[in-house]
Amino acid sequence: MRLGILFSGGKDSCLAMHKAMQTDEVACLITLESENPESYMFHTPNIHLTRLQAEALGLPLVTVRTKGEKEDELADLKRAISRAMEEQGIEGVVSGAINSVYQASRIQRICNELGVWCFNPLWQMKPHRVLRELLASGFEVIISGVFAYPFDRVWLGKKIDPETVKQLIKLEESYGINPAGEGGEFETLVLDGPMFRKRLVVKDYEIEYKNNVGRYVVKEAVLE
Amino acid sequence: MILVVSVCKNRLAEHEFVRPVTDILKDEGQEYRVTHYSRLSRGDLADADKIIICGTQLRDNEYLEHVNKFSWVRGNTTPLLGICAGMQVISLAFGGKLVPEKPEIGMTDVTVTRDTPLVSAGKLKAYALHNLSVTVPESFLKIAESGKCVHGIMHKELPIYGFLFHPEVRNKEVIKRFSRV
Repeated sequence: MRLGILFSGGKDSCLAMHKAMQTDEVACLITLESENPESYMFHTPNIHLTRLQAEALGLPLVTVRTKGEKEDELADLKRAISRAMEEQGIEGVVSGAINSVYQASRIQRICNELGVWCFNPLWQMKPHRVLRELLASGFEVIISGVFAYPFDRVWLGKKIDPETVKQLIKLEESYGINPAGEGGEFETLVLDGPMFRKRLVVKDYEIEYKNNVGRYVVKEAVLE
Repeated sequence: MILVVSVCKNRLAEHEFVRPVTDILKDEGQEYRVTHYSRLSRGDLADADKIIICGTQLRDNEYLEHVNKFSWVRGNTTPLLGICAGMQVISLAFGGKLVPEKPEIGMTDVTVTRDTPLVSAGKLKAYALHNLSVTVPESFLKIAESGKCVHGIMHKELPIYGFLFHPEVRNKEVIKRFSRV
């Protein structure tokens, strides 16, 4: 089946895509560029990099801009999926939803209204398993945003490696942080992975950080 | 060994409808085997101590075109749990009928109307994803409902249960209890 991946550039959409590629044909990436940094549904820091990631993957990118206000986002998502159906002939949509029934049920509803198949290959996966599968599959992932105590500046730009996974699991025990960040505690950027033809290399970045909220903003990145 | 039956038309959907069930069984230390309904053999059924029939995608009605593949359900005496599509085929095998509904998607208020070995009477929040419910076959009791439709059935004599909501998402205890029945 020809599939469109709901793509934020972060680890969950990439791992979901990786699983989809084992059985089906990935035809395009679908990205909502949210203007609201606190978007309910869509991951935002460095969303402009999805163009570069799409190029690295050799896949067409369907983008729609959204103001990122709660229910308008859904209309924008519907518009984006319906454009991917027309332009890329997709018959199914893949999301990286893990445990959020809020996110999953909204995507299910939109797909149902549009008459398109809906796939959530990470559904109900344990957060530590998501992280371990990412590493085992050879993804290069960095933390691009932190939004909760006790994350500090040091986390921004940190590569997710076995040591980072251990630290995240510890934070779950002591602070109830979801190690996959699905509660919006942190966000990630994927620089390389098994299906990438080229990898992203960050040439210049800026750290914005204040009171446990911070972003690793990529100012310049190239493909190598 | 618990036999886990997939009804998914699309293999990719098994990550979403079968793996969450087998993850729970794994955590419970249960042995299991996954088989697609179209490839189920008499041997698979004979080897099973318990059977779970999983759900599938909202748009997937392929299993309903092959209801004959579930004729074994009728003569089955092994503990059996059907989830969503699984509950639909259990009902059909015992003479029930499908009831088309406006889709229920997402968290849904379900009332469990009697105590059963898998779930106690009371209210629960359950994850729903379906556009078909069923009638309660004659040899069954209704054990759960939402404001809209039947959400749970139980055989009057045999350990056969069906839930329309997805216990593997927000009511994992139901599957844990079934694995220990």
